[in-house]
Amino acid sequence: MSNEEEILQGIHEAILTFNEEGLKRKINEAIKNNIAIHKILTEGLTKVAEEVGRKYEDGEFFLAELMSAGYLMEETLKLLEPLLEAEKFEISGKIVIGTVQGDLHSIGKNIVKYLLKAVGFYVYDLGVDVPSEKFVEKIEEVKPDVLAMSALLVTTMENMREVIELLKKRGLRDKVAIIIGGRPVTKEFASAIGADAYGKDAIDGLNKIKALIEQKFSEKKYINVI
Amino acid sequence: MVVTNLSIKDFIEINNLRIEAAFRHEKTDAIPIIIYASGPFLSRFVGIKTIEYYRDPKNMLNAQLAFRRRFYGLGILGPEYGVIVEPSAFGAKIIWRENEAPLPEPLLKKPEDIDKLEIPEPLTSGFIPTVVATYRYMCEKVKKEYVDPLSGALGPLDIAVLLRGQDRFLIDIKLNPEIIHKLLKKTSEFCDEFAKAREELSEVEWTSIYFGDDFAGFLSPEDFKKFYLPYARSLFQKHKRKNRVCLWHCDAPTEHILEFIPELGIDAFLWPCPDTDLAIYKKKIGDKVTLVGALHPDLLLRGTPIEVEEACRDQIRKGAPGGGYVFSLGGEIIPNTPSNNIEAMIRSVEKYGKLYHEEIKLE
Repeated sequence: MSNEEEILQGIHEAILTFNEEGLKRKINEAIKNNIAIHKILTEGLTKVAEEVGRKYEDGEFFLAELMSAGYLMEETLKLLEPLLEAEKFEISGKIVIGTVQGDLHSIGKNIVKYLLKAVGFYVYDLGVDVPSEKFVEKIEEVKPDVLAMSALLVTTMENMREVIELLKKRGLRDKVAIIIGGRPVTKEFASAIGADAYGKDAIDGLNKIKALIEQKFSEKKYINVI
Repeated sequence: MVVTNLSIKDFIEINNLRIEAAFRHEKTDAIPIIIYASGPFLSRFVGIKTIEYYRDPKNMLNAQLAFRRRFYGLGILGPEYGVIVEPSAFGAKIIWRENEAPLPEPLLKKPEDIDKLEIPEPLTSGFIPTVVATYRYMCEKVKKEYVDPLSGALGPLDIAVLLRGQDRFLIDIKLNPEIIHKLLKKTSEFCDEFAKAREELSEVEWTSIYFGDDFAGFLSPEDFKKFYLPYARSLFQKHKRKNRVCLWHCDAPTEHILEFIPELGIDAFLWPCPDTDLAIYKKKIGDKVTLVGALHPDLLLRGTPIEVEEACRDQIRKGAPGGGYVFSLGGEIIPNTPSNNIEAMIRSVEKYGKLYHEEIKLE
């Protein structure tokens, strides 16, 4: 194994064992050894994100592991971001994400955000308790490829429908793919409110968003992936 | 009385006796029912803003009474403030929202804040004096025996999560586990002191004690055993009495930790996650713990009365055999749930609760 491979493997292991200090050391080592930043992202973080997803699907990881791995990946990105611009790393898609109005739950939304960033997407996180109008304004402003909305409460999931209706009224609905997720959300509900996709959990959400974006770039239109 | 041939008073008394028997894991002559409706639903039910329900005890009482009058004396009667009470006692700021339940703002921004956190005085801190005042007001206005004697509260885990924030809490479990234990020790101590103080205040001997810890279902089996089970079990042990049942609530998914739930030392598991099949709960822990649930609140909101009836029948078929079962929703009633559906649910429980509780076998 080359020195570069060892360092990348070290980053991988530090994230998967939740070793924050070890991770910082390995990133600094990578920078000192002039490992290309895009390589740390594509061969380091992307692989970690995939493994995190696999471990979650296998029942080895639960929310705490997802959240912690996501947090460490974001910390890694923060350290690398200033150096990224110099390499002109291409962002592969733009996503606006948020938890709908009335709902302050952030776990699922943040895990998806961390994973999206780790695999190279640009994410505009509107936070929690986001008014429907604010989603629409952001979509008008940044013209994302995907809008991802989350709700953990059955009492607030109806607000997802409101956002979609507002987008229709403003003539924006066809310009953005929409995915929804959260514990009470179902495939049927997603269909009923006119979303393009439904993520049954964070990992499924990530995969569906990737699929939506791939479809957009290959066919120039969105296909419902529910 | 339409549903039964009894007066509302007799219906409620009999329903309560059946609930008590079911909590003792006995077979009952019919399946009892518990309905939980809180501020967001009740405020809309009487046509006021949710904040008006929470900020004026008169509105809270009137809304609860209106529901009980409409639905045969079922529903809560007592101070109900969602999840703000205990965190506010520790100093968390309350976020009031016009048409949603209020929420506490996470207080512990940095891990070091946990060391500085003091265990609050149980009856004089934060929002608790308001709860006490509402309790006294309700006892004055209606017979005290009908008012919930403050025997339910948030458990140590949910308080800790609300104080630290969900994301940070989950990250700390992996990155700073020792501070999570420190925090849980403090919230557990508060739960213990707060329960003692509430019982003294109520001046009645509690027949049940309830702790709700929704977040327990978000933990892995390993973390449940490490960060929850010892604290919750100890709390229930401290408050277990000869004639008192221990009630526990968690409506997050719990199938992965189901085998450890009896180890909490509880008598009943209230309102489990409605997405999980009640038959699985019944099969795995139904002989040790009474189950209270779990019609999907979303079905009650969106379904037709016929669909509600079918779903109620299905829940009873799964939950009733062998006793130790109380019908309820898997959670609380969602705002704007049609009264027709609530009515259909109550009627169906009466209909199938008599027919099915003995005869039906699980497939």
